[in-house]
Amino acid sequence: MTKPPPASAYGTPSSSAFDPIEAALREIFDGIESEPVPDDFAALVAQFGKKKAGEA
Amino acid sequence: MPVAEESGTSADDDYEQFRRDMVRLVPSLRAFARGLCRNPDTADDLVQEAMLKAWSSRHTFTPGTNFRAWMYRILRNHYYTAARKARRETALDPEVAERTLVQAATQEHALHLEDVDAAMARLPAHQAEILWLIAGAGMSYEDAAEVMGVGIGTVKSRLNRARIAVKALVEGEAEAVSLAPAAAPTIQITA
Repeated sequence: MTKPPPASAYGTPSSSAFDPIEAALREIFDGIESEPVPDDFAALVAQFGKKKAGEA
Repeated sequence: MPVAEESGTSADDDYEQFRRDMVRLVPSLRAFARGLCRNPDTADDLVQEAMLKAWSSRHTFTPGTNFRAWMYRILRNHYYTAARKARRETALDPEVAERTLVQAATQEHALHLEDVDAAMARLPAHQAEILWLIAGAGMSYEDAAEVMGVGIGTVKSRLNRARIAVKALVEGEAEAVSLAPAAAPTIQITA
């Protein structure tokens, strides 16, 4: 998932200075976001579907 | 559900949308959780518990409002509740320790993701979370305020303090490098 650097990576709204630390944080965050989601999440979501059907 | 009736959709439609929205958020929730608790497995457990909590509370969510902030807030609250119960479990993540050791052996002057990540591990939780929300997740001040349950002024002041703290850790104390969390005093780095 490619996202532009966060506004905060450029400092305060009145500043245009690039902040390498915040850019690194975005990169770390994006790296985790792009990891494959473990299968047990799909199992959990499937469980939600069953609960909904059971409740209906 | 009044909102659903007004909009002409059924509650089932809304819950299906709710489920889809939650699935879409999973990668982002995992990233935020990892930032909070540092351990990948613990982070995934935290996300799943937050998803269960959100699902059981889905009737309290108003469709059309900020779902991401709502989910992040549930996750965050769950994290702090769990952390209060088991404060002593916030020991050093073995993976962090390994990265730290490798870093010490190959250290360069350039800014590395590992430097920043290790510095984040040493920040107080409330400072780390604001950086993950604003810089990591790219949230607005308004959304971050909603997640944290504070005003925008508090978000800005916490963010400012967090920026100063992480910068000091990355730039100033890099040799202390070790950057190992204080919770793991037994780890020693040799040059």
